[in-house]
Amino acid sequence: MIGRTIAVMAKEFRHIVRDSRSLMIIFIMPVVMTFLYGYAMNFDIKDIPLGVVDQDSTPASRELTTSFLASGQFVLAGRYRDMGDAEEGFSFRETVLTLVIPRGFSRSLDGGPERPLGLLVDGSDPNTASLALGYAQGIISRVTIEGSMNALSVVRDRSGSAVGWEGLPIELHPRFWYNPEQKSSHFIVPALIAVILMMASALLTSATVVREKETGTLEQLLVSPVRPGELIVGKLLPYGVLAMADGAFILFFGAMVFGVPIRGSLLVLFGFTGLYIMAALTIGLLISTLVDQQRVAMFGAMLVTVLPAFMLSNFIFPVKSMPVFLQLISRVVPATYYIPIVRGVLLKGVGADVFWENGLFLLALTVILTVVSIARFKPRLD
Amino acid sequence: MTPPETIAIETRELTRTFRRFIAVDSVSLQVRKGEIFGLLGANGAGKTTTIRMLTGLLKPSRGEAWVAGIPVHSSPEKVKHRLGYMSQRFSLYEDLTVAENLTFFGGVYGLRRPDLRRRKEALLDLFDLKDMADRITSSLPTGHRQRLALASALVHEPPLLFLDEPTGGIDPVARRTFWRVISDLASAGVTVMVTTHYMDEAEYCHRLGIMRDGRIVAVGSPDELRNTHQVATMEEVFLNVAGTGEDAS
Ligand SMILES: Nc1ncnc2c1ncn2[C@@H]1O[C@H](COP(=O)(O)OP(=O)(O)O)[C@@H](O)[C@H]1O
Ligand SMILES: [Mg+2]
Repeated sequence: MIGRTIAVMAKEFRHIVRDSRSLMIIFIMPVVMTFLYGYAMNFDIKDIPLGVVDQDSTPASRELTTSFLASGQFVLAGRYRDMGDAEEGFSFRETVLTLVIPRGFSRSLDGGPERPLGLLVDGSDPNTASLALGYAQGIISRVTIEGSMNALSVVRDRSGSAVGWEGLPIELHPRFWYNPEQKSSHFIVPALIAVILMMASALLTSATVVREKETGTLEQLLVSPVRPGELIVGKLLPYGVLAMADGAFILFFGAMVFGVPIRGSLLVLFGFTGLYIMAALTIGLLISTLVDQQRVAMFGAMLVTVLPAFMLSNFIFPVKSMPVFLQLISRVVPATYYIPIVRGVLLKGVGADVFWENGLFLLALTVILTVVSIARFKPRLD
Repeated sequence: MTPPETIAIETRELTRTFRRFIAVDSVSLQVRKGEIFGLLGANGAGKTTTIRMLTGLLKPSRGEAWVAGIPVHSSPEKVKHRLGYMSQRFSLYEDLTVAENLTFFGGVYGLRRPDLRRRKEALLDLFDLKDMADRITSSLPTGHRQRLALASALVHEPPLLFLDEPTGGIDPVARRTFWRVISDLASAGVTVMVTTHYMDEAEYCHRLGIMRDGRIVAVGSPDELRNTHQVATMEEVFLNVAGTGEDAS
């Protein structure tokens, strides 16, 4: 009956308003977390220690080295005579990447026999390694493409070897779309928002039913005619409103502090965020119906929301390269569906048409979890 | 034999076990409409478990129970509109005000707004809680809390009332007023099943069931019980049947 549901909703609203401590936590915790993780999880790497083995020793090879250093991504950590020397650079962790310029490099630019450049990278930290390698390849292709495109304008010294390039008729300007400054925060913060929203929302509801078990008020509810469905829905909606306010707060706060653009429609963003929040709330609620202690419920809510949202949602680690069973789990992690939405709407400005399937999944998950919560809710004490 | 339509509560061989432990053991009793039926017994005798089965909170392991003609052992949902329940442990919302607790339970029992307002007024009056209406419940003294708990149990004017140690921890004067309300309700036709702590309260009951180790060991009015056991006080009756002369606690 609608009247009973409304009675439960009104009561839950009162609990929310009276519980100023939880309200504080709900609004302050996200701020702290956004700051902490937003700054800590910075994947922009600068000043990668570069080793150089220049066996060519020509102006062209020196120019290549200079291009590396001028990029701002590398700093010169050491020059080595040969590969053996360079290896020591790795062992002593002086260098992460070593550029090997073979004898004859300069002549190869000039049309001489090809002399491949060598890049040695310390693979013990794969993330940094692949980033460093990416940067290096970018620099090299820029230099060599420019070089070969302008074979005619290669500047030669008196002896006839190339010393550099000038007067380039075509310049290569790679452009990164959606995140022109390539700030990792633009990529991280929207996903971070997703994780925080998930955690905050699930925490909110995880306590609601189990608290009534602990305080004994559940007993009074169970003798009343209120049905499990009325109780669950009546609890869900007020927390939905609160979590939505929290969500808007986190979104704006995160976007503001880290300068993340909001390119898409706010309406679309809030619509999908609402679906995501409801899914999170129902996860918390289900946990709340299953356990007997608030602590357990809150711990459980943290565990089943934060870890998967971080690890199994393509937040940082690509799910594709994980074992199959983890891939399967990632399919039911709401963040997997929401992170592309929040990134897409914020950074690319795309609309609902792109994400309706994701939205549908979140809606389905909410409905399923609500139904399961109602079914799992025991109408008796035993 | 009492005509069936005057029976409010009837149990047959009502039994509840927790794992191997038998908390309530084959309890059979009848409570008439408008009767105040007291369950007396030491701690752990099985009073709360009995009441919880009658209110649909616990499923009986064996046996049957009819409350207001409804078989609560099989369809506990149907009886919920008809009963008021006051738990042994205070179980209202401590963070709500007095009035808000009444409003909530009124809403949960489906009272419409004008009825609800009328009931709230009447109950706040009856239990002398008018000037406390906007106090947060956690700040109330014990006596007031118990009054509020009874008021909440009565908000939908149930024909049956289950009170589990309703006067626990309140002073004698407050207890007397409490019992006056209960007596008035019974006079108005409400059936009351009440468990108690205090021997002197047994006198307020029309009939008593004395419990020991999950069994009903004696049933009757206070006078009947004293006569059968040829003693002068309920304490002595209790000593005879329940093996302790102390408070039932
Ligand atoms: N949920 C339960 N699980 C296990 N034992 C219980 C449970 N509830 C009550 N009991 C046991 O059943 C017995 C009767 O308890 P109870 O009905 O609360 O007694 P009373 O209300 O007369 O003090 C006690 O020994 C109690 O420990
Ligand atoms: Mg008890």
